[in-house]
Amino acid sequence: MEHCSTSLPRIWAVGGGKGGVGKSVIAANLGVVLAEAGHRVVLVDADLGGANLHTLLGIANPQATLSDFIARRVKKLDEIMMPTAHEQLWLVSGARALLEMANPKHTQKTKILRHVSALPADHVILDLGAGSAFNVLDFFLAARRGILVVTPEATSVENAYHFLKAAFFRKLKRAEPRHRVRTAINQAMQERDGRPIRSPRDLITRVMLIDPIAGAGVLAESSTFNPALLVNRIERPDDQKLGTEICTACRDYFGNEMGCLGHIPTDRLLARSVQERRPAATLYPESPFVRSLRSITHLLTDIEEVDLAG
Amino acid sequence: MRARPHRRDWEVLGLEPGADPKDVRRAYRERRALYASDSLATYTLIEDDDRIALLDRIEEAYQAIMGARATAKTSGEREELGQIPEGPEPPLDLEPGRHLRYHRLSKGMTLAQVAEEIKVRPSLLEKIEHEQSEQLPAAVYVRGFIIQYARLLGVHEPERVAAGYLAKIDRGPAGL
Repeated sequence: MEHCSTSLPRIWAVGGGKGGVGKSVIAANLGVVLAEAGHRVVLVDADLGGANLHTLLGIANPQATLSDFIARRVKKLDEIMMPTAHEQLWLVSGARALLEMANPKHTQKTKILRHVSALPADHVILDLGAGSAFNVLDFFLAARRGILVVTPEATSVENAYHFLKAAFFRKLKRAEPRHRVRTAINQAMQERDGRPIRSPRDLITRVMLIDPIAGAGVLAESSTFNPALLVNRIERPDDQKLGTEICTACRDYFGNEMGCLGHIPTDRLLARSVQERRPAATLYPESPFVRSLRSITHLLTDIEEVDLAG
Repeated sequence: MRARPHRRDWEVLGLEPGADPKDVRRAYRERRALYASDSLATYTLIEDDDRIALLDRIEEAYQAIMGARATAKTSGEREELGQIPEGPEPPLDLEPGRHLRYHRLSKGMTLAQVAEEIKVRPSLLEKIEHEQSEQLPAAVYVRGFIIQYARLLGVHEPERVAAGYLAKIDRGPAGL
């Protein structure tokens, strides 16, 4: 496999709004799968305050972590890249973060993101915390592609939609020219005549009518909102439809294509791999979980090639 | 019903303008299920009244597309089916069964296709079309089948069609 050592890494973020849907396990195994395919991969545990990627990779006591970087005990992020059991896979741990670090300040966040995008790797995978706090959204939006993990449960779907809406509106706020965009959005929301605004898609249409320049800015910003959906822990064949259904609903609602990465079945071997503190991709490479994840990884890198070409 | 569908009608069903009727029916069925109140995939995505408005919009789009299709069908296309609805549309109040059949053939659909779409046996549909009232199930079921049938065909006001049908076949003392 060819690599250009000077090119910037592709950044993936794994989020999902709800805790316990399998974000960290998916991030860790995605890292192993990509590393085994010959890529240089850095996993970054951005779940400050709930970090456990190191445990999933069998590193009990990370020597240096993001907290050292935030506290400026180390200057560069690559100084705290720890080797793992896999030759091509490194970890930037989020362990031992102090309480106040769970919500890094804007400047700290910007600094982390700047350093992340300069890591010497082909792929960087950000494992995000639960919830829809601004810092989680910002890491998600900073990625080349955000991967949204949901499980076939109402609670997970609910949090995923809350997360997506929050991320979408956070992104819209960045649309340029900011002042005109803000004015046009406010005007659109206050208009009482005409068809009601039921979705971001309606809102964008309305903004375009009010102020074409603001509309173009909003459209440009929203069109780069393209998270990819992954349905984890499906139990019944019927659950397989959930992914495509959510993608259809998101296209109707946001007006954007959302990549549907597919689904991963519930796999008992996974619990055992967590217990053993070694990734399933290493211990059980032919398990249903790992096989699904492997095909999803191919899909993910393919989507990216298409995007780059386009 | 509008004479011809707008671009937006196709968009509502997530289709390219001029899509195959089979795809239109599939998209319609999928969208209805997706936005049904018990759908997991749209849970908390939209408010209840938006959900209702959206379902109405889906209905409207489907009716517009299928309605336009009925009138746009060329004689060549009709001949292919072998069964051309002859003459004027049979009136709903006098011949509701033939009224439905007329619309089905106008859409170029076979009994089997309709049966598969609305999940009933073809033989039952045939009995409905022939108004074999003594062989039909209870009125409440017949009403449900006809509403679904009429809706699938894009016939205007499916409820009215069902009411008209029941009024015609159920003239006995039993009533509804």
